[in-house]
Parts: sequence; structure tokens; C-alpha cells
Amino acid sequence: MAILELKGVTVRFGGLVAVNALDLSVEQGSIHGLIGPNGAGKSTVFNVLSRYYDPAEGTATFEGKDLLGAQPHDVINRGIARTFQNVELFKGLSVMDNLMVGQHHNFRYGLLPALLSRILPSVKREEAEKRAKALEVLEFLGIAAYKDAFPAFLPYGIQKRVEFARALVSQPKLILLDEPAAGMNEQETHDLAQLIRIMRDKYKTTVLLVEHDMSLVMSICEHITVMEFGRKIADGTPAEVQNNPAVIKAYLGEEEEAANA
Amino acid sequence: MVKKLPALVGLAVLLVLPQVLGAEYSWLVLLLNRALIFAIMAIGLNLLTGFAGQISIGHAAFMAVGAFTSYGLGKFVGIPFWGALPIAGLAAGLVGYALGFPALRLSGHYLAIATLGFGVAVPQVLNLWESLTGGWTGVKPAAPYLLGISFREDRPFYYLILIALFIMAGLAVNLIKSRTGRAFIALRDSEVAAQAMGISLTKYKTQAFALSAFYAGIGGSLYAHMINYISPHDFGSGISMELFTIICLGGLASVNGSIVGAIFMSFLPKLTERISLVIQKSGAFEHSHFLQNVFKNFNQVLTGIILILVVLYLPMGLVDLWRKTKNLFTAKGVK
Repeated sequence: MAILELKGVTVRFGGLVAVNALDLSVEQGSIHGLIGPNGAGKSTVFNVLSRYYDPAEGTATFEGKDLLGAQPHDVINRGIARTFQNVELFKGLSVMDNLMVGQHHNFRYGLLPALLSRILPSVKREEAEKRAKALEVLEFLGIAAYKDAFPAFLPYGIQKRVEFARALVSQPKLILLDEPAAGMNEQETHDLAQLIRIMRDKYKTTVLLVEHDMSLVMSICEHITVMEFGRKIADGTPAEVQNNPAVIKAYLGEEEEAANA
Repeated sequence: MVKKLPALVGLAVLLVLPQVLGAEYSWLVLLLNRALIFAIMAIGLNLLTGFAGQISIGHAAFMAVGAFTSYGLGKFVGIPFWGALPIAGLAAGLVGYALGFPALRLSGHYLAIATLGFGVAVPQVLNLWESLTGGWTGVKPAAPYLLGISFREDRPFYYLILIALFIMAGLAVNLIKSRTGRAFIALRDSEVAAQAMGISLTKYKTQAFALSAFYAGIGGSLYAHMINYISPHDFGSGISMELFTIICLGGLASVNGSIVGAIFMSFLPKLTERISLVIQKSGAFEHSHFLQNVFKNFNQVLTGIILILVVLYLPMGLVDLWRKTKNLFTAKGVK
């Protein structure tokens, strides 16, 4: 069953067509890769799903319900969390508090109780619950030792994990990973692949990831969609996509095609 | 405990200060009262600017709304100060909430200009509303009176302000450690990520403006009934800039910093005035007419120099001085 369904999504920036009549269907519980050369429109698709961009045409449904009517801050209430290409952690908050913000939409208390947060037992209880939940996720990702650290003082790989944790802690049904392997070495990328798979299995979530690193995509994705110049040029299993002539052309260029001919 | 030490020492000093000051230093109590009222307003501005990242350099306007609401309620409706104080805060908060909406569309320098404009416009409007504000002549808010105690004198009023400061600072500290405070910091650090976490920019920016204005309104009401004479032009850009300077000097995103900054900014001009008087009296520059003239205004020059030195060497604010001193000792092995 498809959890996320895009039909004919077109995004224009002035005269530029960033995404052109894209159809995309993501199966529930799958790890789905969205790949393509630079400027193919992958991140634009993510930004449509996060509701930062409005498509000129097309529809997007999540669990059968329209997604395009949602505000950016409503998306997480639908069960969609995300990470960012260039880590977007809150630098003024500790790792733990970053994860508390990750659960922001799950809190029940409002402004007036917030002004008495350290006195009201109900608020203290709720804070403690959420802290325990955050710690559980940090432990799962092996970064509990950094809970009181501030993001700027952590190595890049750890920062990426913190961002993962922040997205996971909201218990999303779908998690969007924007270039999770960017800036990582081979070993880190390998660990990351493991992590994404374990994460999906433990948290019963669906993963849609945008990625440049082919080894990561080929090793963990069950389904791959390939884009070039805003269009979908291939769709299928890693094996199908790898042997698709259009994909080879997009990645290796015309000369390869000429050499094959 | 060590973490709370500076706050406890500060509180103890504030509690006994007016008692130890002799009668010849009574003028200091008035200065201290003003400083602590500014501390309350600075905490509010810091919630908006330091925590939520939204600049305001027209904050005196909210103070004016609080001051005249409080006065009007007493004069025309007969509500005593005790009832008028929270209502003045709420009235300013409501104006702040309303200003939050146009502010949503602006950020950085543009927001600065818009709030500056607001800060200039409000006193002008109030000046025309003569039946309430007295226009250029101003009005005279009465001193509070409760349980047989008159708060006409500076010393009793001092304790009234201190209690208000204690409550307002407490609320701010609670807020910062809550979901709302974290949401403020989140939207300051990354609006994009904050939205992805479910934080509505509209809701939290307007809340930040309303809260911040609430603090200014409370400050305005206290100020009006302490000074017992106000006119719309007492709440001009100078006051707004002073508040902004207080939070930058004291420490952005710091409640303690707001208080330290307010006290520092209130006493610095007095201190430099004394220093320049001593220099003038020493007669060291009698040989040079030019130097004599320079040292006539030496207090202002010195104030400026100190402000520059603070922002240069303590960019995190005066509160950072405590941390730096502590590090100095721990580095030498003294724990």
C-alpha cells in the first residue's frame, strides 16, 4: 500500500521548471531512494512535501489525505518528520533540548502553564516523560553521552545522528532524509546504512531519502526513483534502475552511450 | 549550589541595599528603583530579542501604553494601582500581540525600522489624546496605597519593585525551560527546522511580542506610579535604545544579564560623572584650555568608551564576566 502518493507535481520558479509532472509512489514500510544528478529537483520535491514550496500543478496525498493543504508546521502532525541537507540543529539548545523541540507537537500544555513550568506538577510530569523518550532514542542511536552538549561542539557525524534522533523522536510514519551521507567517509556511510535499516525496523517507519552516494542508495533502498532535469526518468528496484539506459546516460553522459553503440 | 551563588548573592545585596544606604544617599534609591523597573522591561525585551530573535527598538511605546493605562484606570475608573498594574500589562500585551502580525512579514533590519517607527508614532498619538495623557503638560499618577502603607517614599516602593522583579524574572526563567521557550530559541536558530518540528511561526512570534510587551506594560505602570509625573514624551526613542543597549551589554538570551545590564546602565553615567568631577577638581588641566573643555564632558566620553570596551571584550555580555572569572580559577586548579 502506498503511504505517500504524488501525481503530476510541477514546481516552477519563474521560467524554470524545477519539477516537471512528477509521479511518485512510496510504499508503506519501505526504504525509498530519490536520486538524480545535481539540479534534478530532488530537494525541491522534499520542500514541497515539507510545504515550503507550493507546486503549480499536481496533487500529493499522505495516507490517502491531501497533503498540499497543510501548513509547514502541520506536516509533522500528519506523521512526517525530516532531516536537512546541511544539518539544521538549533545551536542555542542542548542535544536533549533539540529532541524536546522534536516532540514539540506532542506536548499538551500551553503558554500559561509554560510560565509556571517548574512549579506545576502536570507540566513537570510531561517534561519528564518527553525527556525519557528522548533519552531512549539517543541511546538507540548510541549518542546518549552527548545529551547535554551543544551541537556546535560535536563532530559532523554526531550532529547528523542528532538530527536523525530529533526526527525519530516524534515517532513519524514517514521520515524524509535529505542527503544523509553528505560529508561522510566510507566507514561512516556504511554505519549509516545499517542505522537506517535498523531504524526502519525498530520504529516501523517508512523512509524516503534523497542521496548522491550511489553505494548507500543501492545497498539499502528497496525502491528507487531517478530524476533528471525535474523529470522522472526511471523507477524500480536497485537492479532495474542500475541497468536502465536512461539512468546510465544521465549519470555517465553521452560519451558512454556513444561507446556502447 | 555554586551555579546559583551569583543569583543568591545578588538577591541578598538587593534586599539590604536601601537599608544600608545613609540618608545622604537617598537619591541612589530612586536611581535603583528606576534601574530595577528597567530590569523588568529588559527581561521582557530579552525574551523577544535574545530568545525569539525578533528585534524591537520601539519598546518604550509598550511602556507608555502600560503607564497611561494604569493612570487612566485609576483616574477615570477608580481601579487602584493593585488592580491597574496587571491590566496595564495585559493592555500593552494586547498591543504587542497586534504588532506581532505585521512583524511576521519582516525580519532583521526591516523589523528594526518598523518597530522604531512604532516607537516614534505611539508617543505622538498619545500626545494628541490630551484628555488621558495631558499632552505636553503630562499627568500625575498617584502613589500606591495598601493596608495602611503608603508607597510614596522611595524605600517602600523599592521593595514593591523588587517583588515584581522577582516574580517577573521567575516567570521568564520558567518560560525558557518550557516548550514555549524552546520554541522561541528554535525559531531564532532556524525557522525552517522549527516549522518542520511543528512550531507555527505566526503563533510563537506573536506570543513573543505579546509577552515582551506585557513586561514593558508592567514596567510602565510601576514607573508611572513611582515617578508620579508622566508625559507622552518621556517614552521616546531614547528609552527604547536604552533598553536595547541594556540587553546587549548585559547579555542576550539571559535573564540575569537583563538585570545586571539594567543596573550597570543606570549607574554608569553617575559613576563617570563622579570620576570626571574628581579630575576637574584636581586642576590637572589648568594649563590647557582645550583639555579643560574636553574634561568638562569627560563623563559622556568615558561612558562611551566603557560601552565600547564591554561589547569588544565581553561580546556575550556582562554575565559572561562571571563565567570567565570562574574559568580563571578552575584553570588554576581551584575548584
